Amino acid sequence: MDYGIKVSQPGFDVNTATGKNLVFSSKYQTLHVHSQGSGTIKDSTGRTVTIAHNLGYVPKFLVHTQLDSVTNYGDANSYFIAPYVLGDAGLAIMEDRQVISWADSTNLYIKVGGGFGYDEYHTGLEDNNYGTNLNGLGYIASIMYLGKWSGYTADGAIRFNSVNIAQGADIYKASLVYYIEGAGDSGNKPVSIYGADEDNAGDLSSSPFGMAKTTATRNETISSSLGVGSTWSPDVTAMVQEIVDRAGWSIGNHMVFFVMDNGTTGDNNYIYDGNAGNFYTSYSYLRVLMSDTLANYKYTIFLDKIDA
Amino acid sequence: MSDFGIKISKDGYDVKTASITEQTFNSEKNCLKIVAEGSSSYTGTGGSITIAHNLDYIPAWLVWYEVADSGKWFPQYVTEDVSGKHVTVNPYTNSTNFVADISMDSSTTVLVYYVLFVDPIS
Repeated sequence: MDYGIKVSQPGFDVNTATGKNLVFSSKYQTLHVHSQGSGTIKDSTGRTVTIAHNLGYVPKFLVHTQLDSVTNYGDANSYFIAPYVLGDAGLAIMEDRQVISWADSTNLYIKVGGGFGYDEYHTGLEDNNYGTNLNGLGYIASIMYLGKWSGYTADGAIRFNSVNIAQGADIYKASLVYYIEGAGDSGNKPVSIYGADEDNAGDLSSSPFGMAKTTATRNETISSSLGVGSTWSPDVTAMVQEIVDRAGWSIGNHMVFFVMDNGTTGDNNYIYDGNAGNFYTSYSYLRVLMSDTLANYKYTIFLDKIDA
Repeated sequence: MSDFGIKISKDGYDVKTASITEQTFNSEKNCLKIVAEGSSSYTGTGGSITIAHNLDYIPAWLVWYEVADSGKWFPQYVTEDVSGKHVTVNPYTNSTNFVADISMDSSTTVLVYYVLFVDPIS
């Protein structure tokens, strides 16, 4: 290059400085900012933000995300480059827990995975966190049947350990994610869901069905289309709220849910979960979203195109 | 540097008093300068793209990728259902090459677009 503009860093002769010692050189392209902005991604608005750039080509871009209440790394004011995968999730559930971004020739998109923002509480794969009352036969610990087994309708119970929700906290959304470890014959299973109206529910080594139930309840039908390896995820927001609103509830206490038969027809129309799963996604858990707000974002769209 | 150099302010700001964020150029501050950019495609079920830069140091870089001619360009390292494919791209640089390791759950074509800066990462 026989002409142009070069500006060297302090202490370097502009005539001999190499590229990395120049603060500017017309030999090298730099990125030109088209637009910048910021916002918030919410669960209630579909977990995806669309930002129009209308450039007619795919621009280079950067997106940073602030995870707000999430404390895996950094602090509440930290921004991370998106894509960002939350926590130590395995590859199998990365999509569920990431903030991603992409661009096409019209828009920039920022999307939060379906599981992002949820706190999860588990059974710890402990036998005494599952139970079934087979009506007319008796109580069985360590497994949670739903439906009808060998002529007996089944009421199931499950306990989640160390639920870290403060007393009286507002619950935005909660689901009981029931993993179907095994199944009998296919068929719909109508059920009624309750929480145990307890400050700190005991384990299920003996029958919990004498515990008081929450006023909050929900009727659901477990679809016959749900097979082994899939999950059924009824909403239990009202039950969780009622339990944590108890005056005697304390952060870290245990929580029990009942899934009661509500008219199952067809013998051996059942599903179950117990202490057999050993993979992160292969057992039941309680997931709770405390806020509609999931993440903040800042974006930079460059005028420069991805010129592939 | 305080007595000499070049400053260019944004529209509406006095260059003599504008803060650094109100300037579009200041010779006291380095600019990221693109030394190379381009694209390379990979078709298969998993492999790598290697681009030699031969800078003898590790340059700053950016990367985006497109799956199966979808028109959607993602930054690095993400697994996402794009046109029915789940792809993960792990890009990195050393003092010689820019490398993108690519894995996917079924055979497809991934187009990787890279930007290498002449400026080192530190």
